[in-house]
Amino acid sequence: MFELDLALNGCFEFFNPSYAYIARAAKDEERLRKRLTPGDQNAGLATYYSISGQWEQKAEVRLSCAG
Amino acid sequence: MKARPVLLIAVALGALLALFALMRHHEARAKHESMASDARASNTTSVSPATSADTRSPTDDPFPSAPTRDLVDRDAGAAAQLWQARAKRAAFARQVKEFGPEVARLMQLAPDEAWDPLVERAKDGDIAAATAAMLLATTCMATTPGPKGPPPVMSFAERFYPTLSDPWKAFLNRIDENGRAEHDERMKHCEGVGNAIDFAMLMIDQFLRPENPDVAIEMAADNRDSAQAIADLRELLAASPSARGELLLGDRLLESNDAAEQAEGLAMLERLAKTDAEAASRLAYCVASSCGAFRGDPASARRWLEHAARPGRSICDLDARQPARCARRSLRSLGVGVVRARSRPERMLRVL
Repeated sequence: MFELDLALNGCFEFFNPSYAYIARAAKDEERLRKRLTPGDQNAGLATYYSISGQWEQKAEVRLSCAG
Repeated sequence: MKARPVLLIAVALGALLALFALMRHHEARAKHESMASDARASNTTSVSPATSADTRSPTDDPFPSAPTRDLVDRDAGAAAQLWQARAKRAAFARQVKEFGPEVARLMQLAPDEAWDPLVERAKDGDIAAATAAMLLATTCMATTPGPKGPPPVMSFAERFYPTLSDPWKAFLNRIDENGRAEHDERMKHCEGVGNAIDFAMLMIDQFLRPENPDVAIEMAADNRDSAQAIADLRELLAASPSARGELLLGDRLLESNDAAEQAEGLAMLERLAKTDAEAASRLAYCVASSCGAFRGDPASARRWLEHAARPGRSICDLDARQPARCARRSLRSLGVGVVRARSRPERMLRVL
């Protein structure tokens, strides 16, 4: 789910920034939320919080958007 | 524009990007090996590549804040403005990382100012400059205005993302509007930017020569005859070891009908995947679903899927219902298709 965070941080942009990555990430996140029950969402969020720091930071360094 | 020139440009750009990625891969690997060697020699803890100097932007300009989800909900216009400033800064940092500071600086100029210095550098063998110039040429080529149709009856966000909430639609629409205005302004400065087809031919002639070992490896791997591809790759690797060549050979071996070759390919990809994100991604895909004759085991794909998630995509193997489909989608979005991409030099030469 941190794909949308990265998209909002501009991490996927390279040549001409556009809405494409944000739109896709927002759509994915919305679809995921609708598909999951509240219990699933909580479990998913717990997993997300446990790994997001690790993976999100790595992704930000890799994509040069950690500023 | 006719289909053939468009195809030529697309293939040339793809080939240039692939070759550029290859060269970057070589540099990164050499640097990684050199750092590991230095660390061993000095008996100190090795430096993580993630914190090495080449991942930092040489500029000291701070990154503007990114918009929060809350701001998007409250004020789409302000959020779009904030995002665009942030995205430009992040794109520049990425260009610096991928192309180097000088080419990145040229990419910030108006197209008609950037063109000549980029072409000059490209002719001197700078493949980053060649790739940047190609991007510029194709962008300018696409600016010829067509007949103006009636105004759209609904916004693009309403049309393509109808299920998103209204604030997010408004946010996307504002980004789209602002982006179009900036793009139109930039494209007023395309005078003097060269013809993309001529430039593509020039760059193909300069960079994609069969005697280039990187190109030879790509051409060998592109052979539909697997036995021949495997034999050629083995021969090329014996003469000139290459991580990219090993990845391509491992991939072809894994897809083989022969059990021994499959085992050899799997071992090769597993070894490479420990340090090579592309190998990890390819392995994740094959283990999560299948590749050629190789049948994967989705239950054991998690380790490689996590590697595949590093660039920031969702770790969707948590979707236990459709792990393989989810992995494919995720990997496609990572560009893992590069291993079997259509932009191979041989295909390009066939087109020519």
